[in-house]
Amino acid sequence: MHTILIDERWCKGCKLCAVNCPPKALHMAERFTKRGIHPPELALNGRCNGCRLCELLCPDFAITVTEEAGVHL
Amino acid sequence: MSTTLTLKTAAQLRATYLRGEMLPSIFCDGCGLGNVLNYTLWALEQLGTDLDRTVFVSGIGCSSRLSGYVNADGMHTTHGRALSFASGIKAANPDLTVIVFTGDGDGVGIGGNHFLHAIRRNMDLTVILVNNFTYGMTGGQAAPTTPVGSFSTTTPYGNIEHPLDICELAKAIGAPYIARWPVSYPYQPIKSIAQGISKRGFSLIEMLVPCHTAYGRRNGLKDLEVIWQWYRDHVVLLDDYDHITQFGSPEEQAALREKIKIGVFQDVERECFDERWAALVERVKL
Amino acid sequence: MSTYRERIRQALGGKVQFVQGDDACAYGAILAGCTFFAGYPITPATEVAERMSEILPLLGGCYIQMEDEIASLGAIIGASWTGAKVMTATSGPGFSLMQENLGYGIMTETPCVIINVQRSGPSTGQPTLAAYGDMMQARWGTHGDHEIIMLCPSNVQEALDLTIVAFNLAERYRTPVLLFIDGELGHMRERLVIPEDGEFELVDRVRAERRAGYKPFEAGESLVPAFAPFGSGYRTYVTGLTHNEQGLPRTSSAPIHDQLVRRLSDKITTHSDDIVRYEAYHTDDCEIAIVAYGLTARTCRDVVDEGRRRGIKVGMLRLITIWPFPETLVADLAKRVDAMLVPEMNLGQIVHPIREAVEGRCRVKLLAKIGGDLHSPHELLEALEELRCQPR
Repeated sequence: MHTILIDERWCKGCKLCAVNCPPKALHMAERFTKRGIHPPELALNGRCNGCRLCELLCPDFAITVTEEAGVHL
Repeated sequence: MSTTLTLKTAAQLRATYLRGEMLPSIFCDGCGLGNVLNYTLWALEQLGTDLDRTVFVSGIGCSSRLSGYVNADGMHTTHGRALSFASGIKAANPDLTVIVFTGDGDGVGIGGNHFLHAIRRNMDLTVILVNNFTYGMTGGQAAPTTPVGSFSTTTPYGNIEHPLDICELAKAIGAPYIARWPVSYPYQPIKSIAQGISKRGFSLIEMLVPCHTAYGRRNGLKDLEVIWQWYRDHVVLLDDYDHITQFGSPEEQAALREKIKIGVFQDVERECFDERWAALVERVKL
Repeated sequence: MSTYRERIRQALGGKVQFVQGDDACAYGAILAGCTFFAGYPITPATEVAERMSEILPLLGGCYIQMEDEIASLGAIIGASWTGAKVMTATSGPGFSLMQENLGYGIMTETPCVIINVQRSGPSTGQPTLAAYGDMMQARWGTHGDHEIIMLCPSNVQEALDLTIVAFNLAERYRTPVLLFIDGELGHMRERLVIPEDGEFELVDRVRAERRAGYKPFEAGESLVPAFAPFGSGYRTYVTGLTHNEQGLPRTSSAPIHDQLVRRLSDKITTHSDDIVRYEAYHTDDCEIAIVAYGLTARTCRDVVDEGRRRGIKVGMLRLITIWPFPETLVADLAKRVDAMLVPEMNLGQIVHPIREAVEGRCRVKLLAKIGGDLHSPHELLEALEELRCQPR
């Protein structure tokens, strides 16, 4: 199981994470953050394979995927 | 070089490398500049670079604001001149690792002359040049890299000038390490940036970064998803380019004309300025 | 193994030499501890670069010839942030190119020395002849509110001595310092005595001592912040944008901008007593004062002697520090004299701050001369006679 932590102070709601999520496990939440944007959230927990692409593609350092696993280049 | 990223989370990475008080960044939502910074940090992490001995230098423009986010010595200089300041830092203290963030306008427009000569001297700098086809900070004017026919605030009838191929230019002058990647590919730029920092001499990593706000908006690429897809559709790996040139159908070959080559353009060894200067000093010093 | 100071002596050669003003500037820089020079060839300043390119590698320093003057100033500012004492040299056209980075040097409080061996202008002008046409550009060339320090030697010996002073002022106040000579002085050979180490002061910028709580642009009473070179672990961010004491951009804050720019000005104006240098020659009892600087002042000294032989009560105030302008000095003199004669090798530049300081308290006559010829004693005396004959 993987969890996705969003730093809502930094997230700008650009959707890059959700758009580029390979298993389409992320979607944009209905709710508003304090910054006035829709943050991403894990829609389907089981679908996240912990690839950490969202973490790499987030331009605002707002995503942390919590899973102890190696990412091989 | 290690091929496995150490298992830091993004949270650990930003705590180690970023000045928290500078974030969130000033960049538009979805701007790939943040990705470039992210990839740079992963590269530093991979190399175990000592941030106390690393200086980030930049000029003026969106990309040049990147230096301010890294929790290291940094120098945000004048427009186009980052390479001259960086050259001074490196020449005066060759023990420092000097990384330059610049843009297409900053690096090869106003700063084109410094670009030529920093490569000619083979200053040991890692230059991460963000090409977004436009002057983003000033609102989207035509740049030396703007594709022919593109619209900008200063080419309201379409750009008539030929754009500059920055990597081919660097290759012609003999930069020992040259690579170009779009931000949509995370792993390759991390590797290239790491290789560039390790390389003795001038390394150029040109990052293709979509600017949906200032460039895309005027060229039917306003939507982030659409502009990212445009880049996926308009890049071709150097290997594929060569293969298609040799074996491709006439249609495939014709399609190449619309595409931007990506990949590692050059990876050779060439003695750099500080090595040569040190040898000269050794020869003549009192 | 000889010490660094001993190797400097060895590199400079004989104690007494017959050299040009340009050479003297280079020697002064080396004596001051300059280890980094970046420049671009330009008549009549090229010899400064030539000497530096010969001497610096002997001492393990670095000489780098950049692609233009913009890059030259950029490179020395970068090098200065590694802790090195740095210099560049140029002439009018190159100095014009340096203006933007000069402002950057002021804003980022970077110690550096810029030599300008002036030629005439506008544009390419007379590259090999003498002029003092950049005096106001030095003051107001770069954009925005600022103060600048500028020194003007009159002979080859002073070119060396004042280059050392320029380095000391740059280090003490953490700001670019300008040393202006002219094509004539730059290329003129004179006897030069290289001073012994104890005979001149050597100043180093104040270094930061504690990492905890260090703010790179926080200044105490001296108004000059403590310096931490790149690579020392202090992780300093340097920007030309309006910045807070931490060095981070704060471009929309009126109070931060106001505080920063006023401090940058104040750190120079409030120390003008330390910065201002001048020479008073027979000014105690004079009725007419020649106010001169640079090469012109040499002729004026003889003219004072000759004028006195003719019964004119004339004296000379030679300005050595031009900027910050010694306003009080000139104002005080204006109270005591009937007239001031201001000979300048331009169409009148320093005469303006002089008139501003004088505030109508005495007559001020400009004797402007351009074209490359120096003021002759004859024309200076003639101007003195005219001033004497005019009623108060």
